[in-house]
Amino acid sequence: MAELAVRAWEAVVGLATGLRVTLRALGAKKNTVQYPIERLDVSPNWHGLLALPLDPATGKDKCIICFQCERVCPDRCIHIEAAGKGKERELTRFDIEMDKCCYCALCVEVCPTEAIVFVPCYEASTLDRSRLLYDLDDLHRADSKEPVARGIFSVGGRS
Amino acid sequence: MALRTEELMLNMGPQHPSTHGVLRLLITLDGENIVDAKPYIGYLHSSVEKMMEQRTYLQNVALADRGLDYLTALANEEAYLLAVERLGGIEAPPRARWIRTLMLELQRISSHLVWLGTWGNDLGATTVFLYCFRERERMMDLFEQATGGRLHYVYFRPGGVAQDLPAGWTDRVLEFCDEFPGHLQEYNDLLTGNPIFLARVQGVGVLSKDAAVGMGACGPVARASGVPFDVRKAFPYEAYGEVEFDVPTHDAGDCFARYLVRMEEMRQSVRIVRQAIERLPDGEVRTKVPVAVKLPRGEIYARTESPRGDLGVYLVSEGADRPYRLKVRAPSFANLYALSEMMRGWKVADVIAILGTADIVLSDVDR
Ligand code: SF4
Ligand code: SF4
Repeated sequence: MAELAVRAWEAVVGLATGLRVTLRALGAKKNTVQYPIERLDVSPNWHGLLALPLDPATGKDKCIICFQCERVCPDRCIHIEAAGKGKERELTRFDIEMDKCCYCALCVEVCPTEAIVFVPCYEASTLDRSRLLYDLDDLHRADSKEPVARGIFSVGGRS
Repeated sequence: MALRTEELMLNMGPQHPSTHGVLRLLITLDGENIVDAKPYIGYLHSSVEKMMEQRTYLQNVALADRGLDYLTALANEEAYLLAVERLGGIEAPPRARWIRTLMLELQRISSHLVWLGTWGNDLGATTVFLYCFRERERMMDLFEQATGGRLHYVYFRPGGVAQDLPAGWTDRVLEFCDEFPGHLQEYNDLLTGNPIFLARVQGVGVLSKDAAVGMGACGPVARASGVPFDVRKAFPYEAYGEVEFDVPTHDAGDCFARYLVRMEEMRQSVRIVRQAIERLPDGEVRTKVPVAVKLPRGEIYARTESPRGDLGVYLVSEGADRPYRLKVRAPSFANLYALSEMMRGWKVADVIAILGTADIVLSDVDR
């Protein structure tokens, strides 16, 4: 009988501990954000989508076509081709297979001219896998190809 | 008339919410009692060891990071790089060594938080699950600010770390360290204040000290069975030889002991983090190591204490810029061995509680 009483008392104390936490949480600050409507900023270090922004001074690519990023990529997902000689040398192809990329930042680290950079964008999901192949145009734009998460607004009629 | 009974084979997994990955357990039952539990593995095999033979030492950091245990990316990098640096005679500068120690301990806390949360969730304590992940979210923000990644960081490099800590980062970590022990106490109260929880874990899934040694259990599982072994103390690496911390052990060897050991480990990690921040030296964070670094011919075994236990990397180099062979001694694999020993003789309802305390990550088991 006495043992039963002790166990009952323990259960009551346990329940009270839990309820105390619940009550405290009721008045406390929220920890969540309503995702597509509110969003959190990412840190400046963020490993997001890759981009090749144009040099604002010259309006041209900063890339000097040294192939270092292509060589260092552990997933071998960068493909570069160039045409021309000397000063005339130009990128004809700069593809990154974003579905293979593991966001390791090794390419950004080895690039001597900071031509390839990360942009603070994390909404790269698409409905079609082939849209994850980013070519030179996409990389110049420095944004995701098909912002599905933003599409929610139009689907929901919220705009 | 005698009642006819026969043994029943129960297949649990590979798709089961409580195995935390694709683990298939073939459990032999006699009524409700577990006669035997056989783990079948290989569903998450990614052949990362073989892939590492095709990539340079620098590229392999990215593979080690995600090819092994996905919850402790930095600990994997550390084990791999320890082997590389020791074989190549590469020395990381003091600041990098302290930063690594600091990061590894933060990683230990975040990994143990996932364990605590998911285990609590398995046992019906959803509140603890949500709270642990709230805390872990803060840690991931800290990791993100320092390394750029939230789960896979690729932060350590041969000869140091990728970049220095951002300004004000250590203050934010200290702030976290101030609040965290209070939260830990709260989770402890929530769990141990609950008689149902205690009844499900106390005295359940006992692994004796002899069995723990015999089955090669490591890390918190072995320490909860009274084996006072911690690689950080026995074979100090990075700055672990210079910091003060205790290695919690327990003699009971049951689920509750494993819980207590991990809770205490988190408190000790906070202690190490504080010391590391206090003693963080100034200076370089990375020595110059060529991108395609070549290691001399030879073999080496480096062992570290990952949050799950004794993580070792055996590296054979033929003098090229990539490993000839790389073998990972995974702590989860060793602890999975001990799992059948823990489960034998308990009720089928205890499977989840026992499996949770073994803290197995399947990508670490299968590699
Ligand atoms: S981040 Fe890593 S995986 Fe992605 S393209 Fe750069 S080097 Fe390759
Ligand atoms: S490393 Fe930089 S400069 Fe060299 S090819 Fe890649 S993007 Fe261009």
